[in-house]
Amino acid sequence: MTTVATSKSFFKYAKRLSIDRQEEVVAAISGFMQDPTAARFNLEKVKNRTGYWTIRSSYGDRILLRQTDLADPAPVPDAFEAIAVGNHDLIYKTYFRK
Amino acid sequence: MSLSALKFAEDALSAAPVPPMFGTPADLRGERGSGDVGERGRAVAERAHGYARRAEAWQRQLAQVEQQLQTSLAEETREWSDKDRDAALAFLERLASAVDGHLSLQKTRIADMERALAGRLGGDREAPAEVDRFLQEQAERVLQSLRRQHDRAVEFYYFLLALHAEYDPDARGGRTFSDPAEFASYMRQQLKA
Repeated sequence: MTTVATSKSFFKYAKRLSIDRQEEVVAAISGFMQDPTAARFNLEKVKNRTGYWTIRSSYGDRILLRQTDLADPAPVPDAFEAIAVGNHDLIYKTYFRK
Repeated sequence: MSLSALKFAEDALSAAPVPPMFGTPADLRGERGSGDVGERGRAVAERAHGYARRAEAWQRQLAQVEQQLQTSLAEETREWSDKDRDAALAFLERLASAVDGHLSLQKTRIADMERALAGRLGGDREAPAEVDRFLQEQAERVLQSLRRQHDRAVEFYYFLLALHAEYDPDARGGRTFSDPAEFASYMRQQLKA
């Protein structure tokens, strides 16, 4: 099972969202902990920032995660810290993955 | 954070290329007789091509901005005070907020273009097929460039949030969960508080 830690900054970002979007964030991370490679989470590395990843929540939101162990050689690490929620998602990549 | 890194980042954002207005069959009305798109059609194609080039150059510029911001922060954090750190974090927040606004505008542009492509261009029965097809192709080219430009700006946005998190003490620590149900229950409780 993938572990996720909750930072103060993550709550700061999450509290700015509507209740529906907060619930989507909670559901996305809960699902991600069970199956991090599920296509619906669209796990992506952050460009030019080693150790940072994003997953899709919904309504165009993505959740910013940081892998806890930078030395973890696995293609998908099994321990993350939730850092932030951003209100933008990829359009071009999504369009061509449909 | 060095002034040059700040200025470079803000200049890059304000230099984001704006997609051209693409033509409609009415714009090429005078050219219809020959079945060729004519001079005005070629001008439409040149605008689309020019925009695609500018959008690609802008994406390369963002990569340079990322590099410069990282280098600048890595060098300065060796000897910075809490005040310096707070100033850098405040700048990154302002920049992320500006990118946020830019992305919202781009999303509206993309939606407008998609609507225009689905309706106005494809639905003109008076336009010769060649003109209609030509304009569709040019508009699709602009739209693809705009979508790529948008995605690169989204990547830049998350890069900024990640860079901010790297230096933000509040972005570290906290309770760790391995049980999704326990995580969800804790989150709901905390978000209500």
